[in-house]
Amino acid sequence: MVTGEAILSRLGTIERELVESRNDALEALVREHSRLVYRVAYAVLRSHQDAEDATQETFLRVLRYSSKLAEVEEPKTWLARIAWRVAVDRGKRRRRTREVALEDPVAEAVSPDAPADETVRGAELGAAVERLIAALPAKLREPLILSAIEEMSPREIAGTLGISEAAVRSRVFRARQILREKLAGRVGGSR
Amino acid sequence: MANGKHDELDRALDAALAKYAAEPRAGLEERVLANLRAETARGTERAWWRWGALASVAAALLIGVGLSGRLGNRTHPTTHVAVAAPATDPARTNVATNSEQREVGVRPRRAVRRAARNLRPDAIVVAAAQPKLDQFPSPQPLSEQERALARYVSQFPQEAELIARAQAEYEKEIQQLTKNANGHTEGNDSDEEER
Repeated sequence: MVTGEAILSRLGTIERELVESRNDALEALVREHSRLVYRVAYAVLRSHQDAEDATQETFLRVLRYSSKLAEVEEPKTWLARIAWRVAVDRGKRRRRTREVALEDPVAEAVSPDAPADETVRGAELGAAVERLIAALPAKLREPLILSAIEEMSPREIAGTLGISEAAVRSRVFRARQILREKLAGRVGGSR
Repeated sequence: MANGKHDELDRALDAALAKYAAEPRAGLEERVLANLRAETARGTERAWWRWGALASVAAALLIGVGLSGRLGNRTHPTTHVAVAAPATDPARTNVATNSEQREVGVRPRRAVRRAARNLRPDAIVVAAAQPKLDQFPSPQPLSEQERALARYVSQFPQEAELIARAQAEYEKEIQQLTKNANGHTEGNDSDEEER
């Protein structure tokens, strides 16, 4: 005959095993994907401190849903999507508090007064391209900056942003085309 | 020439995009795991606290239900609220003697509210809810003298009977004398009126 104490003991053991298995799964996720989460957050926030905070927040959110970890089919994409949302939210809050908005970055980046050679070939080239990227519409900019993360395939970018893989490919292509045209026009015009 | 320019722009773009993908500082995984462990520990503490609070609430409810059940069994449940008179002397405030107390019954809640409005909060003494008694006065335990009398009656019943009889006769005589005295007085009064 099975006593009540034995049943309680068995239930306790099962619960402990469940918690341990969840913790193990979570630890495995952290070890495997924390770098990716950080890079997604950094792509949005462009600050090491903010990206690290966003990474911590992402995994805290994962902890809250740790009971459902077993149901997640593609953990990598799932994590990237959470990280993306956390980072975008943080970016919005940061903009509200710091108000660091660029004033017409395109005009600033390819100013007609600036010498073309220095703009394209010099040290300012990177900053100019960044300003052009920041000036892109969000639906083109978002897949473009995620495509810079080498670990992410177009399929995973699509899963992160909630769009189709074809849309990712066409938007990245379109974004690069726009950037090339803006830079080429400026370079060609000055030569 | 055009291809060269195209490549140059692509390189510039790739270089700019590469800046969007930075490497984390060393030890990111450990920091994240440490944070998760701390959060898990906090969650466990919170869970214990929640269980403790739940247990307390359940115990309080059980006690409340038990008390209300007991009070419900009484025949005339009324609440007696003893309210102390307003005291200006702080030394008197905490001592509510019988002479200072007046009872407010029938609608205890309203009485308490009224008393609370009129008096300082520390001058209010609310007695425990007591049911109205079926028998008044309530049966009290025998006093020392009564117990001694009972012992005497049980030990010497005949003598006790004699004493009781003598006591009764004595009382009768007293009553007769009182009557006579009253009749005599009334007679004197009527004589005076006639005059």
